[in-house]
Amino acid sequence: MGGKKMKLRVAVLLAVIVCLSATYSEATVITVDPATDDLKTKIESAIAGDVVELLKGTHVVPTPGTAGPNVSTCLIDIPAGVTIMADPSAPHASVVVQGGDNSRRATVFCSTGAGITISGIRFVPAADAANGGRAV
Amino acid sequence: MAQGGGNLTFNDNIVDKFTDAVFAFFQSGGSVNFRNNWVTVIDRDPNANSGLLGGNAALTILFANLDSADASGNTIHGPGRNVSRDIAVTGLIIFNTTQTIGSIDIWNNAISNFDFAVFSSGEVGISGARISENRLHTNGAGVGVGQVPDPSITIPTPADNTRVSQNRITGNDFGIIVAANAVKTTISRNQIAGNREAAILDLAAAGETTVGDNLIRGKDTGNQPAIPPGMAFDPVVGPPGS
Repeated sequence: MGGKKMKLRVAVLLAVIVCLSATYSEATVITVDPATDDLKTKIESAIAGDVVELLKGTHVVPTPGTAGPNVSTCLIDIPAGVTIMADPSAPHASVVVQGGDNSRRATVFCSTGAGITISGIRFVPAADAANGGRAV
Repeated sequence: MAQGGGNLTFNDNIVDKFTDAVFAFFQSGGSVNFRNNWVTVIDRDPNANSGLLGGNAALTILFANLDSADASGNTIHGPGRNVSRDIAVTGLIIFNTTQTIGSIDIWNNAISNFDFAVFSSGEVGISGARISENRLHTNGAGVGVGQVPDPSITIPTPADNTRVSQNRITGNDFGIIVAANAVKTTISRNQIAGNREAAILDLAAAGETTVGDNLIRGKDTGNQPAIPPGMAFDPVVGPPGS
């Protein structure tokens, strides 16, 4: 009798675990290595709920070549619901996004979607730019 | 962040030598959170945008329809005050002429070297904007409430129910400027010291601004004689001429 009860309890416990696993899916973490990955491709291919984790180093975002007025450019378009964050294990300010140039009216990160989070990133202007324009 | 959806969070970032850290334009729904960032703003290139100089900020919220906006814990340094510009450069600016933000909380920021450290204008719902416990120094003005500096420009919904409290506003040209179209502004328990011009320049209609329990050293208002430096002063200041 006691063995049957134990089996029933185990079965119920397993069923609960299976149900919880089915309903809870962990966010996908997309890591971006500045040495090998293209930041724009990685971010723009993310979907809602994804976390894009930038590894330590300088992620260079190319600026458009055209300079002058009336050239308003979004360099990286963030899909709705995406989180962009620095690798939590990297020292503070060691994850750098380099890009943006006001003379080209560039915005480094932009989005028309809701639920965007950006955290722990150091933004610096493009190497040839006096300033970075808009970061976000 | 042009015409974005709601719920934008920007926290713990460093933005170095940009014209703007976050430009939230036509955000719709949810909240904008701008917290614990370190930002240096520099002037934009006038050749890049209609020949205008100025008009940039660490955080801009423009024409947004939000439940809430929160800017707290940021350290923001600007390109300098008293520079000839077409439009002011501002640390934090809420300019909301046609939409509603349920609540605005600008709290515990350190902001220096701007034309305006904090500028809040527009309809903000019943709770109003709360500007509190900030350290605002070496700016053209510490706080601007309502349409500043040109009150002749008509905006549908001026700053409403703004509460400016417990800030330390030092070494600016003006401490706080309340524009003619600001209504029901409360200024209380601030330390306002060492500003070159008026500590509180109140241009609002009679009875629309409540001022009390502030510690003011230096000049008090544009309509009263200067208070000798070092003298604590706890005024109840009415509108100009009162």
